Amino acid sequence: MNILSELRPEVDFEKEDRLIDNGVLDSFDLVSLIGEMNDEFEVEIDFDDIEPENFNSVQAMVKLIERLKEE
Amino acid sequence: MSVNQLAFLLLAGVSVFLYYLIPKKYQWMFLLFVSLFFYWLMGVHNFVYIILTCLSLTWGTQRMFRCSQALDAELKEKKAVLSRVERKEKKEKAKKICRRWLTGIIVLNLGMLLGLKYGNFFIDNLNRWLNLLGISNINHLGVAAPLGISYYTLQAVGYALEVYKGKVHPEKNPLKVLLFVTYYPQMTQGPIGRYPQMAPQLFEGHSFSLDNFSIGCQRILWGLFKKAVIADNLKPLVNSIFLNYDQVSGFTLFMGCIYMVFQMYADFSGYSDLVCGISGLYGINMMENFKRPFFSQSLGEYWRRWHISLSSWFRDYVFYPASISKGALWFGRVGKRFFSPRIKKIFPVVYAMAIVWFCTGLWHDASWRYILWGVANGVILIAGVILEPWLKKAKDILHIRESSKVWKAFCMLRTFLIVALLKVFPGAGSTGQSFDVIKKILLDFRPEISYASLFMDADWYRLIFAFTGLCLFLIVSTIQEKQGCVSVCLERKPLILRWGIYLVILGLLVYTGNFDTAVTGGFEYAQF
Repeated sequence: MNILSELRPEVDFEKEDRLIDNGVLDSFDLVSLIGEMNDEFEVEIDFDDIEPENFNSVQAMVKLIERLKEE
Repeated sequence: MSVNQLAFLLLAGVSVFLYYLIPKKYQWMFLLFVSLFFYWLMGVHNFVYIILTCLSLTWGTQRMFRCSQALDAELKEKKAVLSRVERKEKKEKAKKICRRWLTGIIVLNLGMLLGLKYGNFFIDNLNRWLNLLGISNINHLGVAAPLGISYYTLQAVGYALEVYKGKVHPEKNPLKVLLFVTYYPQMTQGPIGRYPQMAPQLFEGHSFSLDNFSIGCQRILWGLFKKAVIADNLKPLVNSIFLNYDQVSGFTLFMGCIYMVFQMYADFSGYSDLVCGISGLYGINMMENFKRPFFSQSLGEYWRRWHISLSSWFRDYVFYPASISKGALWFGRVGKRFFSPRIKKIFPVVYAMAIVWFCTGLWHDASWRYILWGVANGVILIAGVILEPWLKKAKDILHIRESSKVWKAFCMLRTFLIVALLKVFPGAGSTGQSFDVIKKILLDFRPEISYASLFMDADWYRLIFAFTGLCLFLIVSTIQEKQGCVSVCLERKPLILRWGIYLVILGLLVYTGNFDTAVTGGFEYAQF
């Protein structure tokens, strides 16, 4: 949440569940987010993982990180 | 044969009629037959390359899929036996094999595109160096780029990437893959379709729907109107200005850039309307390629609204992989450590954008002027990313309210002027001429309000037709921007009003449209 709040402080990430589909996060935001998530959680988000359903909400991002950590 | 020519429209009309007579199960075969017939009319030599594309796609994607399936089966079977490390190793090994197949597909197809479309461009540049060294020139390749190769190659590579990502199951039937690649309305200028959206619609049968038919006809009419009334009435003026660039003032050249913006927009979006309209007659919804780009408040927004199928393709398949590559992210981290935390955020973006915009320029044409055009777009966009904090500070200091109508109007005008000025590259006949045009605009402006200065020797009635068409286009675009789909708005109006509007547009098309293709040529983006 800290990463997201720093990226876009004006967005209520707890309520939004279509961050990519509604254009709340644009492609530049997504790239910054991926860089921070990789470093913070020590995962490697790949080209395969860049799908709207993996980044549309905080819950989806958590699920992605958990899946990558398991692999 | 161009999409706006009578022969093509007749082909489409007859094929739509026959399509609905055929049982749904076989409709996709008929669509393939029509597409191949159209492609055959454009030249038999085209077939070799597109067949190679189809076969490489069918075979390569099947191999990738079988590799993934084999891995899933093995992991399931040995779930209790394999450790986490062993599971990871097997996944990486399978991924490596899939990547090899994907690389093969991309290398073959992009290789054909590079060789056939850009081969002579590379040879010309190499010959310049050989001349300096006193070595004899290499001859040009004696092959012509097949029809639509710039479009169908990207569409094919996109499909392969979607299979690689596991987003779609590959199609086993090479004839269905061939239909996806050769679907005739989009052959010459796109839109560059995505397999998950297009395939189900192409392969499944459709029943006749009066709504789809009606909306399809409206789009066709509107597309023809934009092309013949706006684009083709402006084309002689644009051509005249740029052909005589050395005899006119910088002001006239600047106006030529503005006319070219409207001409190219009407031309390309008109084509997209025709493709969507013809596809709609079959019950197939194509991707929208334009979203009223001149309401954009920044160049970045403009490129999210103009030629959407191309810009989104580059975003998904070039920008994202490049920006999250290990190298880009590593450099970002190093930048953060030694310079500023901001470097980590912006370096990957800047790096990927540089690649995207070079490729975008190159994709448009095998010429330095288009590469420069792409690079110029990239420089402006990258400058926006780098300067963002200072621009924000400047807005705060000047107390600019971004939500104010005046500011929004200023941003739209600024974006329009940037786009117009960048037209010096496509407008001029060569790279050298592009720089001459820029020099003239900067150093020999000489603004003058006179017919000759504004319109050269253009026929006055063509200007009136084009201007009337543009006004109508602006009204329709404003309605679309504020209320959404115009067809839906029209459906709510009384029948007599709806048909009155259709007949007025048809009348304007017939009486004011420029159908002299000897002067206007075909569609602009068919050359790319």
